[in-house]
Amino acid sequence: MKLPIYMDYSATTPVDKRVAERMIPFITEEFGNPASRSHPYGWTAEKAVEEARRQVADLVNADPKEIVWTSGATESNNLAIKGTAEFYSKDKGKHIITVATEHKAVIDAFRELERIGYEATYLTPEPNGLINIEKFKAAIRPDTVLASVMFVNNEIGVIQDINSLGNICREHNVIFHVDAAQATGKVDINLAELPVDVMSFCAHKTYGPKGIGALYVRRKPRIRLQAQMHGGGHERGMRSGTLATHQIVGMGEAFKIAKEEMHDENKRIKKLHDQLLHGLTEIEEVYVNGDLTHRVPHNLNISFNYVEGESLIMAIKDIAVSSGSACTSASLEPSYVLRALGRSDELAHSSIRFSIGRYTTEEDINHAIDLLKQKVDKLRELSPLWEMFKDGVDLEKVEWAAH
Amino acid sequence: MSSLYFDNNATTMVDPEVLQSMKDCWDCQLGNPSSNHSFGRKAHRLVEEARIKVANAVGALPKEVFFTSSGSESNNWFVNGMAKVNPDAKFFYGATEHPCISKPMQQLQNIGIFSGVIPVKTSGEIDETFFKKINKNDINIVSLMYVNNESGVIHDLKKIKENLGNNVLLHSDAVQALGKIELAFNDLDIDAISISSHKVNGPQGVAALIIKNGLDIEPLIYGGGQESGLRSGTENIASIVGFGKACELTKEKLKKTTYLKELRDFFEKNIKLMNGFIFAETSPRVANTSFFGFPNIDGATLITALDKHGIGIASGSACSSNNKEPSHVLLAMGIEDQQAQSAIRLSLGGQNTKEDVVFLLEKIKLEVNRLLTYTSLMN
Amino acid sequence: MAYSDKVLDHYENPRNVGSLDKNDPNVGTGMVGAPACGDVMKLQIKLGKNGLIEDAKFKTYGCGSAIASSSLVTEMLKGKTLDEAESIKNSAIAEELALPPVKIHCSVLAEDAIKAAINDLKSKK
Repeated sequence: MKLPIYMDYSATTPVDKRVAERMIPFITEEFGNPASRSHPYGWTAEKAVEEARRQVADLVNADPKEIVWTSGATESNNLAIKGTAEFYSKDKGKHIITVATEHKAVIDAFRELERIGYEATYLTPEPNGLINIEKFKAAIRPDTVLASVMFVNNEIGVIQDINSLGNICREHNVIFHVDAAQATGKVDINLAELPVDVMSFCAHKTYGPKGIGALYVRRKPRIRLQAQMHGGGHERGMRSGTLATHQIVGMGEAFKIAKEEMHDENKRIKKLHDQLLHGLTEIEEVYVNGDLTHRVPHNLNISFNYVEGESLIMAIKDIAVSSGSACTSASLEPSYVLRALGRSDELAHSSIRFSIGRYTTEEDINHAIDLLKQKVDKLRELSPLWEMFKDGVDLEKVEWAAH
Repeated sequence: MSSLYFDNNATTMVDPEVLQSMKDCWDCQLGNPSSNHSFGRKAHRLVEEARIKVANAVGALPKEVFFTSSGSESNNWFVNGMAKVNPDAKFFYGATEHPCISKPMQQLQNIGIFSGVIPVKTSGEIDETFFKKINKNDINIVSLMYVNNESGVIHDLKKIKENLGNNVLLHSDAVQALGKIELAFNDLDIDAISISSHKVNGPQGVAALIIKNGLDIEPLIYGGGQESGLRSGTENIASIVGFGKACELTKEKLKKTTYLKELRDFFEKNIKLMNGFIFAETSPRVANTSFFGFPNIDGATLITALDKHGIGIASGSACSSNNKEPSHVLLAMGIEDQQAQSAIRLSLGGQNTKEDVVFLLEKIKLEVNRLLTYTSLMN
Repeated sequence: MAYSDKVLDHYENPRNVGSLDKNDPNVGTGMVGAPACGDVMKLQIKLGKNGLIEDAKFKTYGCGSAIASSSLVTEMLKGKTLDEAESIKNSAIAEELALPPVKIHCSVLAEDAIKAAINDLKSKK
């Protein structure tokens, strides 16, 4: 077993060796600007780009023409949200809906639209992280132009009912965007049937390179959007800027591998997940965050009550995990996702996200369980809250000298 | 090394050392640079080391370097991000700018912000009489490219900055300047520049906007708050590392300037012997670029003919090679449509040898003569 | 975030972990912070017959810096008079542990814990 053990696949996945091998020739021999149509160097690159576009489309059962390359999920989310809202608001109105547990890229794009005159509703999910369909329906107004809901949550791994939400959007003529950055290779996505208008993807959560993503833009019925980056008119005018051929090829290969292997891989990961879950829930006072049924097995978010998350992460430095989204790990605030679920401050401060993947082994999981048992014990010995809990003190009733 | 690729202003071959630095990233497991564990910290360190290398190559501070996904994004960001902070400002851009400056500038008009064009002379240089005519209160934010991608003309940014005065914010698309001329951001004393990796033998898909410390700008892309909150999105580590390495190598590239100039001058001397003409010939130009044409020969046709000989050369900007419009750069310089239609751009790289250029000249001569026969037959 | 060696040392081998009898008239207990903020520190001191602090114990719920700050404080307190103890400043703790700016509040909390423990002790007299 190689230490430290990586269990932060939701933050980023390592690049699959097969993907890296496929990328390298496009950095060396097959170089050329895909937009240079006048010489063969450019042609080879263009062919590779179109092949990759097909591979990405294949994983989600879309038409390659519906795939627009971007620099990653953050850009895809910004383009989808600002691009469609700006295009359709003239006819429909300026009300937009999302969920409080979305990724920062969605929340901040919404905030940006609010600054320029849009009105936003941030739905609170149920305590299990799922959206209540009736509450979603009730939030829609005649002037609602766009709703954005993520497929799989990055912190707690729950899977939203995209099909039902999409149907409601269709009924009310609302553009429906789905951030699927954490979903590819983990859940089946069939865009021929799913009522989704725009969907964001990225490569680096599915064993592809960083810095490349894609946006699915439906053609039937045709969805239009206002470009956010203007210039040479690449990607049919939706997104300008020279394409990184090797990265596109890498994303295509990564998605191809995902399509071929996801079903077997997910079975294996489900086993590891169950093993981890059983092991960790043997510890007293632990709480799983997010619904246990509607979730991807790759994620297990657990609060170890009366132990502070950051000190626990320090204690288990043999395994690389996070206390939530990597993007917010520089801040000292507890996870806004867990807060939105109504978790108490203590539980929100005590959470750890384990995310496992292609290279996680049974041995890794056993090591993690042993380590957690030992370190949670040690930190609880140090914890005044644990002592009070054991003495039967109701922490809710204590008057804290907050600072 | 020898190569029949003469389109180095469109994109360059990745340097073997750059490739190695990127392979190293893929071979060792790296985390998300925002993560606090060892995998994340290592990724973070690699990004910061690359930031220092990029800063050194352009004479800026590391904290003034913000990584983006392309030169186009850097340029769009500057225009969009400045417009958000300065909605009352009047924007101007050069007549020969790349579309990724001119289009976002034109878009500003849709949201009620003024944007105007600074004209160029037939030489491709900025028409300085413009600065004398305009009221200094009517010009606030300016973007002028350092080196034109098609003609190779160098704008004298220092002089332009003097003309504009200190109250005007000046950005420069320096994508074609990096690695071709000395680039000293702090010495130029301008407010922002855009640079791109794949123009200097680095990988595609990574670039930077260099922003003067303290300049107020809003992001183009919002989210997790990477790049000091100004450019969200997980860092493109391997490409950033490659970009850093490529920037480190620009010092070596600059040493080839004399070599490239000799090669280019040799090429142009022969083009003129074939009755060809050179655009912006007497203007200050970068050493590797020649923008040329022949009377009564369509540029695109000649390029297709050269392609059959395995020669990679372009009619101008790669981005616009899908359309049949004549070069907007030449039209802005006041060149007639028909002459502009003939334009071909040679852009040399360090890998091109004199033998390559001789071969190119031979094939040009062959194809020009062949095409002229057709034209005379048709007339 | 990179912690200093001293933080890591106190975190991995915390000194004086535990509890003293809070009903003992010579024991002062200070509990500061709140679960909502992510840190709770409990500091106890025991005054000897000679007027010097003869024992100090802590329990802390919080990040590595909070644990290290309280561990360090128990070491600093032993053998001091109450007046000397009261004059311990957070800056001394932050400096000793080389705390990064975002963790300075941990040293502030430790200083507050000392004051709270002393006040509790004095209120018993």
